[in-house]
Amino acid sequence: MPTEIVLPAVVAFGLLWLVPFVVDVGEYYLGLGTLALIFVIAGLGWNVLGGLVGQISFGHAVFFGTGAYITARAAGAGVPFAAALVMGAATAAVYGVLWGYPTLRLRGPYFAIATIGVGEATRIAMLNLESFTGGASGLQVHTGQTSAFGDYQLALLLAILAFVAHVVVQRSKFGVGLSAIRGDVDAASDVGVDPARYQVFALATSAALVALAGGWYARVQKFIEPNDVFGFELSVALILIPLIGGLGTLWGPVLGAFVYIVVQETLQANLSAALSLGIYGALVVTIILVEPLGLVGAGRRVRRAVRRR
Amino acid sequence: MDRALQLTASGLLLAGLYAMLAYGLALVYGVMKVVNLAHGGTIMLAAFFTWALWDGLGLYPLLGAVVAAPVFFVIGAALYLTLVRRMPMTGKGPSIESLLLLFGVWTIMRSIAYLIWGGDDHSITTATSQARVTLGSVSLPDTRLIAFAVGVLVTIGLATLVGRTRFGRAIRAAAQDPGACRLVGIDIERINAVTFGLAASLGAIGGGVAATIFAFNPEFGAVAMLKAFVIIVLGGMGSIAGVALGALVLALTESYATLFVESALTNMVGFVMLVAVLVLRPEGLLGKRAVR
Amino acid sequence: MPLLELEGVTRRFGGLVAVDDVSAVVEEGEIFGVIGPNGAGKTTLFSMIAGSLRPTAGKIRLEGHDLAGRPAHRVVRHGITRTHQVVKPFLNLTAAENVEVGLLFGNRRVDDRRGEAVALLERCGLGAVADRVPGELTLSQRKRLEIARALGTGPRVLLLDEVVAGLNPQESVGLVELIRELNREGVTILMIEHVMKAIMGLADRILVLDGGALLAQGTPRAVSRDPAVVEAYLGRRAAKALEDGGGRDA
Repeated sequence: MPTEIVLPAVVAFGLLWLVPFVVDVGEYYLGLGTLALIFVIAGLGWNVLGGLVGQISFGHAVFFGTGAYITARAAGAGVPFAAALVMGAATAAVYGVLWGYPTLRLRGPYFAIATIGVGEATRIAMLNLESFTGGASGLQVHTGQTSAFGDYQLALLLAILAFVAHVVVQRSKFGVGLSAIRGDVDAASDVGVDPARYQVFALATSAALVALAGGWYARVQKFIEPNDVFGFELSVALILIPLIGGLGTLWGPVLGAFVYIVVQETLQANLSAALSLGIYGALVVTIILVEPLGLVGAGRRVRRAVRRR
Repeated sequence: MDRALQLTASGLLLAGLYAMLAYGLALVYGVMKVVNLAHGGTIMLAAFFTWALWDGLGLYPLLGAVVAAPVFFVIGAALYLTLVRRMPMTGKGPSIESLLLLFGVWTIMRSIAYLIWGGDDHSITTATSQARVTLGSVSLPDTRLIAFAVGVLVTIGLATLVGRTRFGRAIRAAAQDPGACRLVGIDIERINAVTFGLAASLGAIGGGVAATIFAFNPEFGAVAMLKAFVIIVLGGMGSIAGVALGALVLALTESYATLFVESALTNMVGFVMLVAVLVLRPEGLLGKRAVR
Repeated sequence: MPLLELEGVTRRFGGLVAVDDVSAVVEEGEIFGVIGPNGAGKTTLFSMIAGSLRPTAGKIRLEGHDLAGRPAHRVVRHGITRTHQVVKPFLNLTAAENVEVGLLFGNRRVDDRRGEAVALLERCGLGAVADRVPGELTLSQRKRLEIARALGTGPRVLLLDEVVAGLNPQESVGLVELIRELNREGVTILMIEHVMKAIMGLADRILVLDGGALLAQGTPRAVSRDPAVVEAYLGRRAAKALEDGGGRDA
């Protein structure tokens, strides 16, 4: 792994690890940090498909929800938590392959629309599968003894894992194939890339990462319900995060997740939820029109401007 | 038998409304290959607009929907001229990021509705809201009959506009080959702005009429738009006849589905159909397979 | 054994027969031209050979191996690749990276991919723009980039779909020269061409399609004297050219 990735990563994740040792941040902010890390993982996961392949999914909450519920149910049945997480990720990957194989042949808006269909159909099904999900009244998650501090540090570990996975995907032959598919799917197959296989692999990877985030979310929230973890709002959040940070970039989802949580908290605490919705909308419009690569793109611009001086 | 007849009749009536909700989406996609994710926002805002006219001024809701049409025409055209026009494009049409732009607009629209009207369910109930017409074993609410009638009128009006007028010829040409249109001096920017406006006013009529039947809140547009997606995908993304057929298929399927699944699951039927049609017949029910 | 052999290749779209029972033989080292009016099925034929379209019937053999119906990414491994009439560069990658994709996924093993990519770009006259993205290149450069990327896969047979279309005469001459050189270096070339003059001087043999069916096959001289071709193809083309003032290819 090249230094230009390793160095900032060590600094960033090192700081995130150190902060709660040095400063007494309190349980509330620690919980917020954990939530941000969960969104880092999910955002990186979404980015593997949405950013690297360019297939925009409006339905990734299905993986978050799958991860949350499978992990919670398995842990509740006495499976060790780490194994429960893996089960959640594996189930999500399988589910992704099942609907991804037929739908990933679709391109651009057609795929995006199909994901809305998959997402909503899944949510409604889960809402009605009361014996498994608890329906609209949700499910209490039994995880045994946990601490806010430990949950934060372990979330950080998972986030680092997701980050490394993203880097590995991006820089491997697999990643080159994905960016060729993003460039032009016909041309990609003309030079030897198998678009069907590559895209399905990307979706499975993406699903597994998002499901890990969902599993950890179930653990720290202690309560999950289908309209939340399978909801359209969550699917939208999973798009907003990489979009704010920078679609298809490595640092985009990381930055985006923290910005998202900070904005979410400050806006909702001080302004109405309605207004914060409007601000997100305005943010999306501005990013697309002004800097489609989000914060990372803006950062690159600043760096170029400074260098030119 | 009676049950089947009743379900067929109510499905048919629903199709008229569904078609109205979908025309705008199909029109914008057909002419400029843009998937307008803000369409649901338009439908929802028009429902509130109609409600506000009825609640504040006592205006008959159907008239409210008629007033909404020109107002939303202006909003739609303005939206095109200020934002959509500047959308990032690739050689093959609008880039995938453009989806997100209109999604952002939809988010802003929901925020506006929450700020003005709050998140509670609203509904329009007039003296005739509960009235029904009974024909033999079939009983139908007046509001739905009216919605169907409006849907038929809108369909005829739109078909005439697109099929028989100069503007219609221009948008059909623009849908075929924008480049060639520019060459022969057709002002594509104007066509697009008018198309966007027209699409918004169609959505507004649909939204206004829908408000007389269903309760609604700022999230109302999501369901309406998803249904509209199902319809235009069924109809092959673009023709008026296709949309009408798609609306009929969706409405009847939903109607009959109540026989077999719990009512909570009938909405799922549409989404499953959406994915199935996209995968199995992406060219729509009427479409021909593309020749390359 | 001929390098490439088509036997009764047919493709239907619904009721329409786009390519109708076409048989042909391409020898190693040839430049083989495919001509015909618009809608004659030329590109459809290419798509079937390259694997992006499945034939409804027929065989496509490379050195005796039937490749018909194999997907494009498999066909590449056997040494057949194509370029597109409307170029399809990876817009998100630089010229060198475009070629590197071909090197990575084709049927060559290359250690220094970057070096080999730049060498191939230089070979195609693009050495100066290796680090530019396709959006910054001229049409002529993008056509050359598409050839360089295809060469990266190490093809034995290169299918060129109207490479000189849209180029000015000077650019065309340069590109035709490049094709001739590549052919001399051992790449068998199949090319669709609309510009009759370009192909008559370049091709060893020509296949004429009309309405999806094979109309004539042979040396340029023989084909251009074939009465069926003169009547059905050249006659109609000439008439059509007068009618729409040169004609634009769709």
